Amino acid sequence: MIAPLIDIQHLSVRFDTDEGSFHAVDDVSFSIGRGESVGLVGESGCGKSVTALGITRLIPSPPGHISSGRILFDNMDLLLQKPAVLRQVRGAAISMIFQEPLSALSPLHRIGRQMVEGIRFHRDVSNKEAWAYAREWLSKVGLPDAEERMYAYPFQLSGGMQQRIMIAMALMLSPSLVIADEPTTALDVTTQAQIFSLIREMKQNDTSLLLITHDMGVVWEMCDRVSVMYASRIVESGSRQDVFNRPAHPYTTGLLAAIPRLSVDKTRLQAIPGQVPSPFDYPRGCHFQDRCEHVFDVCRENTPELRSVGEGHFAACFLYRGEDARNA
Amino acid sequence: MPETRKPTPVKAPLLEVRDLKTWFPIKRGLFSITDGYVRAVDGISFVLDRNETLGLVGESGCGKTTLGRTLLGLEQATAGDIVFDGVSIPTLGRRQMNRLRRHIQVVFQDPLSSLNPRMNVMDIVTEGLVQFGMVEGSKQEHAARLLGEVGMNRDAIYRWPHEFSGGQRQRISIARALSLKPDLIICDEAVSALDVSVQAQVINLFLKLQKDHRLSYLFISHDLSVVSNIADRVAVMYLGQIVEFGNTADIVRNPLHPYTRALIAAVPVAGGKHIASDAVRGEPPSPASPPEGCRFHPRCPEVMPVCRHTAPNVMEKDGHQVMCHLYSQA
Repeated sequence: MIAPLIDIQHLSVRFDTDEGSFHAVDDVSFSIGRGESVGLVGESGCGKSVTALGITRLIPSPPGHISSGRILFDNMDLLLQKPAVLRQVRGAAISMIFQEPLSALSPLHRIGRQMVEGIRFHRDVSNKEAWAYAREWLSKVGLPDAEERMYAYPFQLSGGMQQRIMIAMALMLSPSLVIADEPTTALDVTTQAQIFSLIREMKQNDTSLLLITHDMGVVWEMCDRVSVMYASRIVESGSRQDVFNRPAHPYTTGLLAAIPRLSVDKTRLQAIPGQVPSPFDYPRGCHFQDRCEHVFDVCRENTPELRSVGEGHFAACFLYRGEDARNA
Repeated sequence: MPETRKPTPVKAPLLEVRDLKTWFPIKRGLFSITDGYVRAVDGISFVLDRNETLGLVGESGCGKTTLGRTLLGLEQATAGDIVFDGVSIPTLGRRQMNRLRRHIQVVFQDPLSSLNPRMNVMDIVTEGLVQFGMVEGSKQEHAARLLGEVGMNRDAIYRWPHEFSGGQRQRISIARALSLKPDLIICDEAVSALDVSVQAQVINLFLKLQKDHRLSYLFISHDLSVVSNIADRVAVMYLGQIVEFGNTADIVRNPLHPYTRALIAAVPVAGGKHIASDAVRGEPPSPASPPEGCRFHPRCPEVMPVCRHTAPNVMEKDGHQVMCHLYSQA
C-alpha cells in the first residue's frame, strides 16, 4: 500500500479552561491519500475544526494543547517540528480555506498586497512577478476585472468574491493538502454551487482535500471518503457510498434521517432525541449512549473502538461486536 | 385562561399585504442628500390565512428579513398596506400598534442575541405577560406551563440563557413568543443556526404548536428544503419581489420560475444527483440598482430579448403565480 499523504494517528486535543478541562478531540485517527478528498462531518462542538487546527498546529495555546498523537505528513511528524518549519509548511504545502473570508483576510490591506505577501514568503520571486502571478490566479477563479480587484479592500467585495479570493490564495502555491473548514457555509446556495465547481476544477489531480463541514449534502457533493465525528470522537468512517447508503453507526443513521429534504407536504422530521452532551461531562463509555435507541449496558462502561463493518468501512459501536463483547 | 378577543369572520384572511414597499434612502454628502433608494421590499402582495404557514424563501439581501420587520412594525413601510385581522397597520398610532404587537410575535435566528443575558428564563418568557398585565397567579406557574409547551423542564426557570445549548435557547424564544397567545408568529431563519439533529426537533415543535394553538406562521428562510417541510404555501423572493408563489407541492414538483429552479438545483442532496456546474451563474445584483427589465435576467439561463427591457407581470400558470416572460406568450 502506498503511504498516505497525511496520516493522523490517535490525535487528542485538550483544553484547560477556568471552568475545567475537557477533550475537544479524543483519539482521532484518519488518513488522506494523494489526490483524495476526505470529509470530516459533524455538528457544532464535535471537534472537527479543532482537528483541522491541530493538523496545522494552530490551536490557540493556552487554553488548548495537543495531548497525544502523531501527524505524519510526507513522512514528517508535524507535532515535532519547530515553528520555523511549520511556517514553511503552512500556506505552501498545507493551505487552508476558512468559513469567514472577511475575518481571514486583512481588512487593512488591499487584496493584491495580501496575495503578493503570501507568494513572496514562500517563493523567491520579485514583487512584479508575484503581482502578475496573483492577478493570473484571480482571473482563474473567475473574478472579472482581476487587475481592478487587486486594488480592492476585502469589504468592497461580496462574500462569494471574497471566498473566490481565499480559494485563489489557498491554491496558488500548489499545496499538496488543502483544508477547507466550512468553505461555503456563509454563502447562498447558488453561490455555494459555483464555489463547489470552482474547488473541483482548480484542485489539481494530486492535491488532497480535507473538507470540514456540518452539511452531509456538501460531503456527498465533494468527497470520496468521509469520517463522521460526534462529541470529540470519530464514530464512523468509510467511502462516501458506504456511509450514505449503508450507515452503520446509529448517530450517522439518525443524522441522515434528520436532514430536511424537499417535501410536498408538511411532515414531521425524524429528529434525534436529546442533545449533544457538554464537553465538560461527556459520559463514560460511548458518547452517544443517551441518544441511542440501541444502547446496551456495555455502552455505558466501555468506549467502543472503530472496527471494520465492511471493506474500508468502520464504525465505533457495540452493535457490531456480537453478544460476547456486549456482555463482557 | 379565557380568550378575550372577539372572533373575526371565518372568511377574512388573518394577514393581507398589498403592494408593500420598504425603501431605504441612500444619503450622500455634507447635506445628506438622498441619492437613490435601496428597494429592499419592492411591491409585495400576499394573503395569509389562519392556521396557515407561508414560507418565504430567498437568498441573502433579497429583502425577506426587511419584509418580516415591516410586518412587525420595526421598519416603516414606504408604500402599500398591511391589513392584520381587519386593521390597517401603517395607519395605527404608536399605542394602538403596541396593543396589536401582542398578536404578532417573532422568533429570530440567533437566540443568544435576542434573549436578554441578564434576565433568567422565567423573566424572559413572562416579560410580555407582565407588560400586558396578563399575569394571573404566579409567574412561576406561567413560566413552567410555557416551558412545558416547548418541551422543556420547569427547573429551567431560574437559569440563564447562556447555560443552554442553541436548540434549548431557541425553545425559550418560542416559549416567549407563545406567551401572549399570538395569532401570527414571524420566524426569521428560526432554525438556520441549529445543527441538523436539533433543527429537526425544533421544526417538529413548530408543527405541533401550530396544531395545538391554530397559529399562523410566516416562515422566513434561505433553505427551501426546510421551508417545504413546514409551509402550506411558498413565496420565492428575489431582489425585493416575489417571483413565484404557490402551494408547496406545486412549487416543489413543478417550479416555474428559472430562479426557483436554480434554487432547487443548487441544493446538495445527500445521496442524490450531483449539482450541475452550470446550475446558476453570477451573483445577485445590488438592490440599490436592480437591473432593468426582469431583475433576474443577467443570471437567467432562459433569458429572452424582452426580459432585458420589460419587467414581467405576475402571471397565473398551473395554479401558481409567477413573474416571468416565459409564461406570458401562451
